[in-house]
Parts: sequence; C-alpha cells; structure tokens
Amino acid sequence: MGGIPAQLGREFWQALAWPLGAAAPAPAAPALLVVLPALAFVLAGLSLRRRPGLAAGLAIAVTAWSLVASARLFLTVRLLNGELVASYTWVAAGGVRLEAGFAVNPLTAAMLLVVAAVSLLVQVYSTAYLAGDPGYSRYFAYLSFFTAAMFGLVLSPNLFQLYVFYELVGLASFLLIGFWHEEPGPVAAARKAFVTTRLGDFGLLLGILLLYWHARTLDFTRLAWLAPELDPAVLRLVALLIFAGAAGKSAQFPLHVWLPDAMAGPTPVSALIHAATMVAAGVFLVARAFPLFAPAVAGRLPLLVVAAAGAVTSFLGATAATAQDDVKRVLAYSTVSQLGLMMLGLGAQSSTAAVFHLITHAFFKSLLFLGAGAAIRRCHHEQDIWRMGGLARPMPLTALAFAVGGLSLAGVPPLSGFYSKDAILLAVLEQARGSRPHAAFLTVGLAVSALTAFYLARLFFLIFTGAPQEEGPVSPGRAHRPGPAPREAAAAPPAMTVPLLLLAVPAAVLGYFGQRLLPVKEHLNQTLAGGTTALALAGIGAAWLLYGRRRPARDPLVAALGPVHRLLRSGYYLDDLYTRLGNYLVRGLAATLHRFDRTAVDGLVNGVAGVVLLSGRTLRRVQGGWVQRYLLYLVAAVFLALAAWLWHGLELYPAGGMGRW
Amino acid sequence: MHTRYLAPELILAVTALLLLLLKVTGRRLPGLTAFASLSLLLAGWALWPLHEENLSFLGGTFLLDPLAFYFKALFLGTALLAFWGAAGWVRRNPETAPDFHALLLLETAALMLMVSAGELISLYLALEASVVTFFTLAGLQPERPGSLEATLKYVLSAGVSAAFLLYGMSFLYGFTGTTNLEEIGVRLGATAWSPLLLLAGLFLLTGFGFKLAIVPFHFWSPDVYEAAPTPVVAYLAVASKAAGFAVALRVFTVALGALAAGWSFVFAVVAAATIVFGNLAAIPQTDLKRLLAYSSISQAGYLLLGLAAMSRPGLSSALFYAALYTLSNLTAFFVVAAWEEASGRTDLAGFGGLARRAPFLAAALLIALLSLGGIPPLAGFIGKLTLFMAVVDAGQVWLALIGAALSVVSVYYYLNVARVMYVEPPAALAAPGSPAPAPAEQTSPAILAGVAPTTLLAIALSLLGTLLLGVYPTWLLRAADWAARLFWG
Repeated sequence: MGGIPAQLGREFWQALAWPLGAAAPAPAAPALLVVLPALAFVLAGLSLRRRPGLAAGLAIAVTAWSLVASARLFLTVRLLNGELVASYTWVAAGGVRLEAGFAVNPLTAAMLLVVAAVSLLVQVYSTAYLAGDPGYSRYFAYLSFFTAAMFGLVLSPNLFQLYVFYELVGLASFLLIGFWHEEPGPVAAARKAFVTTRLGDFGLLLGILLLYWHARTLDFTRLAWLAPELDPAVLRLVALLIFAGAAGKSAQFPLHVWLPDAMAGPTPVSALIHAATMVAAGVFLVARAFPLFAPAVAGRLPLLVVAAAGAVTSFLGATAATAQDDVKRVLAYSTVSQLGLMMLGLGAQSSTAAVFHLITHAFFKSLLFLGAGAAIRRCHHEQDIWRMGGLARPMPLTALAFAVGGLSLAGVPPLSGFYSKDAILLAVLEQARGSRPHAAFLTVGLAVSALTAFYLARLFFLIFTGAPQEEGPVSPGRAHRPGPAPREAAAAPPAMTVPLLLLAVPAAVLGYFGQRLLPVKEHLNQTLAGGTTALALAGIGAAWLLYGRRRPARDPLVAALGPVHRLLRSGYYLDDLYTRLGNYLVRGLAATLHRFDRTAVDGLVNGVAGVVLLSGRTLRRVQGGWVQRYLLYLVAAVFLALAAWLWHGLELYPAGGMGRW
Repeated sequence: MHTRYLAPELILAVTALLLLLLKVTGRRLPGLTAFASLSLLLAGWALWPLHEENLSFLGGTFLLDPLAFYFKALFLGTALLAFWGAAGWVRRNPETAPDFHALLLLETAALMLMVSAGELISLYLALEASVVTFFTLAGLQPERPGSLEATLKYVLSAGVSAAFLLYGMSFLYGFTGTTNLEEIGVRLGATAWSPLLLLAGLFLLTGFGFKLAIVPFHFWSPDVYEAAPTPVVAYLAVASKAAGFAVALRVFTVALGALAAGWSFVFAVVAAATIVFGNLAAIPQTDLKRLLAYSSISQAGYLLLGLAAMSRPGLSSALFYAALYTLSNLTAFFVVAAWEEASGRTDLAGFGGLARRAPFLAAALLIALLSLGGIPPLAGFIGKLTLFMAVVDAGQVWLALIGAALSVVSVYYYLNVARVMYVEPPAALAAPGSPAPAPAEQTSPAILAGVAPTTLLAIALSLLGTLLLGVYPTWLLRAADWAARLFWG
C-alpha cells in the first residue's frame, strides 16, 4: 500500500526542487514543465474563480519556476552536449503503438527558454493590462493552458505527440483570440484562425499517417537514422505535407490570412502567442523534422517549396504592413513577413539561422507588441495610428523600449535582429551561387529588409512623435474594456514598463551573444552586412521624410500609390477571395445537398400534419407519392452501387480470374 | 443450459413486460428510473460471466463471441445513461413514462439479440423487433409537431428496407440452402460466381444501411431526430447505429467474406459518400437536433471506414469509435434534452447565450462536439486517428484524405454552435405551458435547478468518459482488439 504513490510524490518534490539547486538529477523535471501549468489551468479555471489575484499569482509562480527549470535544462544539455530523451508507451493495442515523453536537446532547450521567458514577462504585464476585466482569472487560466501545451509541443520526442500539442496550442489560441467573447469580431476571428490552421494541420496529419505507414515510427531520433533508407518519393510527399502543417500554424502564404485577424485578442496574447511562440511552432516543426527535408533523402523539391513559400510570404507581409493604419495589424503583417524570412532560412538549408532568428524575433516582436499595448491602453483602446501621436513625452520608457525593438527588427547593427537576419540572408547567398531561384529569394530578402525598416519607423514616428491627437470617441465595441483610471493616465504602471525594459535587453544584445551560444556560423559577410545596414537606414530615412519630419494629415502613400495602396491595404484581397471561394464552394455545395434532401423527400410530405393524416386524401398522398419516390431512390442507389461494383469487380478480376473470384 | 446464455436479454424482457402489466393497473408508478437501472444492472451482472464464451447455441441461431459481448456491454451502458438522461423528460410526461421505460428495455434486449444472431432468420426477427419498438418510441409524444409524420416516415422506410433485406436473404438461401451465416460462407466459397449474389449483397446493405442511416439510406433520420422525444433520439442515434454496424460486419465478413475485396470497395464508396454528405449537409442546419442528425450520419461514415479497411486494426478501431461516439453523442443529446426541458427550444438560436446561463451545459456540449470533430486530447481524436491509420494501412489513402478533410469541415459547424452558445445574446425562454421567467431569473442556478439531477449526472459521466478515453485510451482499444480478434485472425 502506498508504494507507487509515495514514489511518485517523492519524484514530484525532487523534480520541483531540482531547478533551485538540488544536486541530484531529477528525471521528472521536464514532465513537470507540462504538468504544473496544466494544474494551474485547472485550479485557476475551477476553484479560484472568485479570487482573481490568486489565479494570476499561481500562473506567474508556475511560469517563473518553468523559466528557472528551462535555464537549468539548457545548461545541462549544453554541458552534456547531447540529448535527454525519455519515451513511454502511451497507447499500445492491436497494431498501434504510440509513444509520449520528452526530448531535451539544444534546439528544444533554447525554445523552452524563450517560451518560458516571454510567457513570464507577458503574464506580469497582463496583471496590469487586464486589471479590472471581469474575465481576469479565466484569462490567466487560458494562459496557463497555453504554456502547458506549448511546453508539451516543444518537448515532444515524436511527431505524434507534437501533433497532439500542435492542436492544443491551436485550441488555446482559439480561446484567447475569442477572449472578449461578448464581441462578435474576436469570436469570428477566433473561429477563422482555428479553422484555417486546421487546414494545415489536416496536411500534417496525413503526412504523419503516411510516414507511420512507411517508416513504422514517428520518433525524431529514429527517423533521423532511418531517413536515408526510406523511399525518397514517399519522403518528398511527407515533407510537403508536414510543411503544410507548418504553413498553417506559422501563417505562410496561402494560409496566412488568419493572423492579422487574430489581433482581435488582447494585446499581451498577440505578443505571446501570435508573435513570439505559437506562430513560430511551424518553423520549429520544420526545424525539428529537418532530417526528413534534407535534399539527400527527399530531393530538392521540399526545401525549394519551403524557401519559395517563405519568400512570397515575407514579401506579401512586408508590403502589406506598409499600408495598414491599425498598429496591431502593422505588427501582425510584420510577423507574417518575419516568419516567411525564417522559412526562407530553413529553405536555404540553414535551420540554425532560422531558429536563431526565431529566438531573437520572439523577444523584439513581443517587445513591440507590449509597447504598442501600453500605447493602446493609454489611448483608451484606440488602435488607429493616425489618432495616436506624441506619446514619447508621457511615456518615455515605453518609447525607448519600442525604439530598441524596432531598430533591432529593422536590422540595425549591433542589435539582435541584425545578426539573425544576416545569418539567414547569408545562408540564402551561399545557396544562390549556382541556383537561380535562390538569387531571386536573396533579392526578396533584401527588399524586405528595407521595407521592414520603413514600416517600423513609420509606426514609431506616428505613435510617439509629433503632436498628441485629439481623443475622439472610442470604437463602440471596445467601451467595456479596462483602461487606465484618469489619475494614472500619465504613464504605464511598473508592471507594464518593467517587462518592456527586461525584454529590451535581449532584443538588443542577444544577437551578439547568441552567436556564441548557438552554433551559428561566425563569419559575417561584410558586403552583405554593409548592404543590409544601408538598406535599413534608407528605409528609416524614407519614413522620416514622409512621416517624421512633419506629420502629414493623411498618409501620402494613399495618393501616391492609388490602387496599389488599396491592394496592399487589403492584404492583396486574399481575404475577400477566400471568403467568396469558401462561400461558393462549401456553403453552395452544402446548400444544394440540403435542398436536395429537403425537396426530394421532405417536399413530398410537407404539410402532412398529424391531424390531416387521418383524412383519406393525405394517406393517399403519402402512400401514393412519397413511398414510391423513396423506393425509387433506394432502387436507383442499389443499382448504381451494382454498376460501380461490377465495374470495379471486372477490374479486380480480369478475364478468366473469376474461378474462385 | 442455454438459458444462461440469453439471461441478460430475458431479464430485460421480463422486467419490461412487468412494467407494462403494472401500467395496466392504472396506478402511478414511482421510481421508474431506479427500477429500469436495476434491471439493466442485473442484466449486466448476468452478462459479465459470458465474456469467456465463444460458442453458438440453439442450433446455431445465436452466437456468443467477444464481438457480441462487446456490443451487448455497450448497449447496456448506453441504456443506463439514456434512462438517467431521460429523467427530466420522464418527469414531464408521467403518463407515458412506464411505456418509455418498458420499450427502451425491450429495445435494448432486441439490439442485444441482433448482435448475437448467428443466422438470417433470428437476425431478421431481432432487427424487426428493434424497429417496431423504435417507431413506437419515436411516436411516444404525438403532440410534438411533426411527430406523426416522422413516425410514419420511419415506419415506411423501415418497411421498404425490410423488404430489400428479406429479398437479399432469400437470394442467399436460394444459393446455399441454409440460413446459417457461417455455413453460407463455406458453401458460397464453393459456388460459381453470379451477379445475383452481388445483388443479394447490395439488398442486404440496403437493409443494414437503413439501420445505420448511411447515404443513400439516410433520408428518414433528420426528420425522426427532430420530431421524436430527445431521450429516444439519444438512444436511437447511438445504439441503433452500433447494432447496424455489428450485423453488417457479421454478414459481410462471415457469410459473404469470400468477396471481401469487392465489399471493401463498396464500403469505401458508401463511407466516403456518407462522410461528405453528412458533414456538408450539417452546415446550413438551424435546428440543433437536425444538425446532430447530419453529424450522426457522417459519424456512421467514419464507422464504416473500419469495414472498408477489412482488417483487424480497422475493425478494432471501428469498435473503439462506436464506444466513444456513443459517449460524445449522448453528452450532446442530453444537453439538448436538458435545455429543451428548461426552455422548450431545440433550434440553434434558442441556445444563444447558453454559456452565461448554464456554463456547465455549454462547456459539456462544446467538449462533446470537439470530441466528435476529432480535436485532441479528446476521445474522438484517438478514434479518428486509429481509423485513419487502419485505412492507410489497407492502402486506401484517398479514404483517409476524405475523412480528414471533412473532419475540418465538421469543426467549422461544431464551432458555429460554440459561437451561438458563447457569443449570441441569451435567447427568449419559451417553455410551453409556462410563462417565461424574467431575464434576471435566467441565471445558471435557476436553470440548472430545473434540470433533473440524474440528467446532470448522465452528462457528467459521459463527459468524463470522453475525456478519459482521450487521455488513456489503451484499455478500451485493447478490449476492442480483443473483440475483433476472431475476424481476420
């Protein structure tokens, strides 16, 4: 009695104490990374409804623990220079065998660290941002749920577990986008995000099924060993299907349309999920399954598709970002563009560069979102940059942090973004020798560099410089959202500024140190570095001329570009196109089938109410009409099936083969 | 003695007849739910020792094998939950309550006989017994709008498909001179090929297709689902389909097994058509019961994937799917029933604002629907995954493709229900016969107080099952594999 529970309890406490310096190794520690936030979710969701402070405190304490544990795991793995893996059988019945467990290696440990760090800062920031919201504890419960799912995803030792958590982070994102579920906008956006990413997940699931059927394992380590022996044609298909899953989650063209709409969620959520972590899961997925993409085992096609999708996405996102007026939409399109750049890096066979950019991007993009959130909150949830302005004076720290994040993303040396973006462009450059598509991709990458600097500078000038804009009436739907009390309107509270400043540190210096921590190629190509820096400065200069020197009353680009501007503003009308296509295809087909069902059968008996049923007329109608029709359908169906079977059967059993069938 | 082998069915039948006799005395019968539950538990107690058996008795009329045991246990569990879930409805309809209990017990007994039938006559009799009981159940509330029409439709469609079924059976008898399924299989293996045999199989498929409500034999189901009492529908939607699946499995693998490759193709086509049609036709529905009817049609298509695979993993995943589909669907229908008791509405708009009035009901419905849509870590995900794996293993990748693609579509309309529950403003309560309460009173405690506690218990239990099977599916997968072990070794 009590043997196993006691053992479990002991392991639990050992694992819990492990990051705090206990010397003994605790094998259960990685599992706790998933278990603790899940517990926090359950507790905050169920029992702490009436005590919001406790829910937030619990979530933050758990995430702080995760950060320390991740850091220690990272150091351990670096010291070992290897991988900690544990895999247990989860489902084993009949011919199916599925495993669950965790794998900590340099890639996953770095990712854990990023997720934990950004989660912690975002949660602290949220305590102030959402103060007074009626859904306060629900919000922290969802955030804990997300953290648990994201840790589970990162730690997955096999594709199957990764898929499960892939869907779970999608669910968390659905819940958080629709957090303000009293408003129709966020909920529609939440559903769009969920269904669009599921389209990609559907590809991923097929890829997993195909891979399992072919390789009989989904374990990453075993797959890396097996890959050279598998059929290249199957692997090519599998790689493309996995990329479909990655494209859905990481908002790659043509599945990127959900991300700008996902900004309907609370801004800290946009920072955490839709900028730093979840949307990067697709990039992470490809990096994790990279052995399956290697040209030696799957041919050149998969990586070329990845690179092309990345380049197209990157360009679409960057150009669309220049024409948005909603601050969060600018940043969302910027995220789309940067995710495209990461995919481009993967496509150029440098998963290291892509992951490096993923990590730096997580910090400076969440910094930008949180900074924007502070500005939005101060303007009473106004998000139109033309109705903001001059905020640098009342909120200097926010402006400073935002500037650091922006310059870093723009790729100005020696900030983080400069190093990671250059690593990607360098990888593309190396591929470009002798490959024409990659030369085109390099051009796109350079253009995106300039555009990025341009739209970020535009954002900064319009929000933080110039004269303050008059406060108009707030958009009607957002009136109930919590805002600052008039007394504290002067500056953001410390719970918001401190995370901003803390994020500004890695946004500034991580690139330089990251080069040492991660095995990134040391050598900078001086021509390339000089060129991108010049392009970034040119972009900033152009923005200063247009928006900074003197604040225009309206965007000069509208008149200058005309219809092109409208095209960019609408995100290339892709939303419209999809909506129409979706309506015509799915809804049209559904309505036709439905009508068939109703008119073909129901129409014949419509009006047959119980009372008239007893009258001979109706009975005659029922007997004479409906049944015969129904019989007709049945007979027709049976004979159709007969025809199909015969046709198929003849194929199956060619002449003479009918003996014993 | 053979009585032992039929003891569970006999217990149910005897208690059902006892209830009907008691009703004739005209007295009000208290404690009906407890009585029926006791009868089911007793039957379960009699059933349990039979799990070790693998035999045929009464001259091959009935079989007792793991497959039959699996389904019998499933039916008993379903009936138990159905009685608890129906408590609210029973309270509102005291006059018909004894009939409801007696008929549902009889129905359970008929379905149990159906899955253990070893030859055509007993199979046909059991199937007809269940159909006759069902249309009586469906018409239990003649004052419901469309009730008579729907019942009549059900009767007529049942008659037509019974005719097909009998015709097909007579063909089989004509070919082989026996009605025993196993014997038919043996003798057919030695006969020359004939297109008439094919026709016989398709006629049989028509008969079973009606039970399963698969395309193109599904026409009756949305009307019946909409108009019949919700607790009846809950049972009809799950148990009747499962029984149809079980007999189709027996007939097409044992009696017609020699043609397996061809049947696999037929089932693949029917499954694909059912999945596509059910999911697409569910999108424009405005009544939740109709929506669930189309969703159930599509779920039957997923069940058929297991038959299309014609392999042991396929069959065991289909058996697993039958159980989880039962649990998730029961949750959904019980929530509908509970809300119907409270508000008198089953139209989708009537569920507006449910999340604010009764968060538990809304969350339960949402989780059940997500499970049906195949979202991890709920049971439906494992079910769909194992089915797809089996189908891909059988080389029918296109079938997995269709199944997975349409499950994305299903999430779309399931989330539409979530949108209504969580976003739309609270709908007006229009309980028949009672003035609607003031909006201030429409809070969660007031509404939950109106729902029978056993209904809440049934919802909680089936919900727990959905969650549990998602996180720890191995034991049931093993049980399903055990039940499937006699087919394809």
